[in-house]
Amino acid sequence: MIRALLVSTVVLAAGVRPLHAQDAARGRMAFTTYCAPCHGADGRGGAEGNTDLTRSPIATANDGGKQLTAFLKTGRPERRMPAFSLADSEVADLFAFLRTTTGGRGGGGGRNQPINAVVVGDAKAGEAYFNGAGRCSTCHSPTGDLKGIGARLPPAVIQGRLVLPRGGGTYPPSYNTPPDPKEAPRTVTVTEPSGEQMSGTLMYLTDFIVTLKDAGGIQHTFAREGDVPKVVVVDPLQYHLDHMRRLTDKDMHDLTAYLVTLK
Amino acid sequence: MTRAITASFAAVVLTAGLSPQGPLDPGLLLKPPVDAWPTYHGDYSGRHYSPLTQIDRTNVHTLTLAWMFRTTASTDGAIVSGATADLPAGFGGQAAAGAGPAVKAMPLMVNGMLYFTAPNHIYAVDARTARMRWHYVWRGRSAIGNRGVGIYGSWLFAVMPDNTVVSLDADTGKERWTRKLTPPDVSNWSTVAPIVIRNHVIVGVGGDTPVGATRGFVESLDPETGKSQWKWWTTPSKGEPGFETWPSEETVLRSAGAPWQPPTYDPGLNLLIVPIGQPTPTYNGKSRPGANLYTCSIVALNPDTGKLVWYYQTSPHDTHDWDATEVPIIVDLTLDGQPRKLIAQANRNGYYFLLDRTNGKSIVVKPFSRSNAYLGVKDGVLVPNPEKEGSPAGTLVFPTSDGAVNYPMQAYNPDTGLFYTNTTESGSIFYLSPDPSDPTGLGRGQEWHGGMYESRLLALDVRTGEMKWQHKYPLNGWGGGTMAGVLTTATGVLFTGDPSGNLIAFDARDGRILWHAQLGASITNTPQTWMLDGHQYVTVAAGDMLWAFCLQ
Repeated sequence: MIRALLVSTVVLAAGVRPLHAQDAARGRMAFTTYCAPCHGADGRGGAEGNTDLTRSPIATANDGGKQLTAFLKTGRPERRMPAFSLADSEVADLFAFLRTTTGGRGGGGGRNQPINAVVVGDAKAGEAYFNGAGRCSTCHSPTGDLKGIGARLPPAVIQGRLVLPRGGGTYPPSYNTPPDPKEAPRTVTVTEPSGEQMSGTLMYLTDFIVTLKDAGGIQHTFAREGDVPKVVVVDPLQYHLDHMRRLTDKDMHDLTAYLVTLK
Repeated sequence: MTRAITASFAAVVLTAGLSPQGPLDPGLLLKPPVDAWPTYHGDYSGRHYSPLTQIDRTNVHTLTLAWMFRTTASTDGAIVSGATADLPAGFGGQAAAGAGPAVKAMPLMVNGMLYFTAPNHIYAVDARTARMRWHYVWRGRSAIGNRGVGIYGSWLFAVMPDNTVVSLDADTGKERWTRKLTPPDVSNWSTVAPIVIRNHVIVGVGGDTPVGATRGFVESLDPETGKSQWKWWTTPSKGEPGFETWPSEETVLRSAGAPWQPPTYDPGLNLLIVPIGQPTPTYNGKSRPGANLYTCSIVALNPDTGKLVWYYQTSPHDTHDWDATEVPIIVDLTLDGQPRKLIAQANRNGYYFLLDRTNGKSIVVKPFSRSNAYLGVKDGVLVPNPEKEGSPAGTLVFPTSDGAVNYPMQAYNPDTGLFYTNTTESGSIFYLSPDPSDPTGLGRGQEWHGGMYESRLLALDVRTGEMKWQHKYPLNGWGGGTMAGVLTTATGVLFTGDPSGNLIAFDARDGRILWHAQLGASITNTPQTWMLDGHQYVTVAAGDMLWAFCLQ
């Protein structure tokens, strides 16, 4: 749980899970060189009213830059958009920058406005909730895992991650993609009718198949039919999921106000 | 021309036993689908219910592969048309490297041929052999999906992503006419499958991303020429009833309200039932105080005149992108001893609606998934909680903008009396820019997707919306827009997909799993079934693959 919160913050600060901050930084240079002359320094169309890249379905697609790569190869000559012969890595960097600028799919192509108005709550009430009704102190400590979190993370990221550390600007990853090695994994215990048991990291689960990785790194797959074998999944973030269902806006804002004081 | 078509319909009816490839008998559109799937929903009702009985609960486990077909984006051998000089590689659907365009369409099956689309692509494929007869490519802008074609006699109709309607000869794929629905400066994009009612080709525009570009509309075209027969704007003009639910004419003109889902039709009442999308700016409702009719509404139009008969707004003054574009299913049943004409819909906002189809009044408004954005129901209509609009400090809302459900098809089975849908419970923090006056875009809103809980297949009592059974898929994995649709049959078999690429047959009575097949990719449309040469086929699309199964 603790590790999950700390490590993934770096990625989330960039706004998009699978991209790395350095890609976006290099992408900014590519953007300035190739795009800004026509599309403006902020990508929003420039003085000539060209395409607003922050709303372009191609530039903001949640496809890892596939459409952008294809598009740049041909351009749109009839609308004065030339083709660019860029290296794939250069396009990837450019895409990473565009995604962080636009917030990706966050809100269906909306602009990524700075969320800087989230600290409206009562820090004292938040502290009381942290130690009381919210039961946050069961797992977290302001002098332990959360020490200095207010200095490390923007308030909006703190607020998002207190609701669900797995959440983000876009959809949480599918549970049936291999677990992110940086996150605390879900574990699973499979019990055969004979009583034989095996536990490990959950890799894959459907109504018909369960795959786990044991402590030695070996993957084991079991066919499922109804309740046989018995499958019990433990999600380290289950409390956050349950808590989200009852969390009020006031408690959320108070908690954020409290956590940002942990500098 | 009209006489000629009528004559050829008669010919088809006379020789139906020989199963010729030829024009569609329009009478088929009025019956549940048997040896054809002649319109998006199979019939006009949107029930996704098949009367076929060859596949039943006892033998469904012997289903086996009949054939599979993979789409191609290649223009080799294709009929190529359209305005854009070059079709950039990768355009025409969200194709992965080396893959063809994804099929989100419902293929039509008419006289042994399948007709279906991906964005900018129309395919004609032999339903017996999976051989491609022809492939039509439109050079134009891309879109996230295309729902398919409509057919009138031997003529096909489809709406390209750039809002151009194309009509093709079904036999050859030869272009008959094209008609652009919008002026060149309008940035809408379209996905809808045309619905053909008598000699009306009913289309609508989609496109809510380039927000505020225009108003949505439904239009009826002449099948022979493509000429407009009528056009109905989804938001009222000055002087019309409902205009008072907008602050100004200017807000109406950029109101969106895209009717991006194929409508349903009641031949008895002669009503076209159209579900309408969300208003814009989407997240920021402050610039558009009022209910914002007819966004997020189910409306009934006269298909001959385009005149509004009634409306029901499922999400008044929406600020969460909760389109009403789930399919409004035509349901006829006895309620409290009275035969009733009804409409059932599980809505993106998490509520189940049962409406009186004669007047649009609600009978049931009941949540089927977690929702926290409404204060209650007043005069049969939901009352939005203003405190649950997005805010600069963030507001925690169930469900997310993706909804508890989305466009994938829901189903009604008159034998079980149950209404079926896949659903996912989810919540988000909705933010607005600290500058809430910005009238553009999504209202400078953004969303932190928080928790997504397990996805479920729900069976609701169609009369009450009460849950009769549910199947929880393990873990989660489904945003509303990526769910599989649902088909049920007269033998009580329910076909749908799970979040992990399995096509599953359930017992429609109790949710027991009867059969499954792993298709290697998530299902991207709704299972269908039809008879051909004495075999009942079940077909479904998963990415760029179309799969067909029949009994061993």
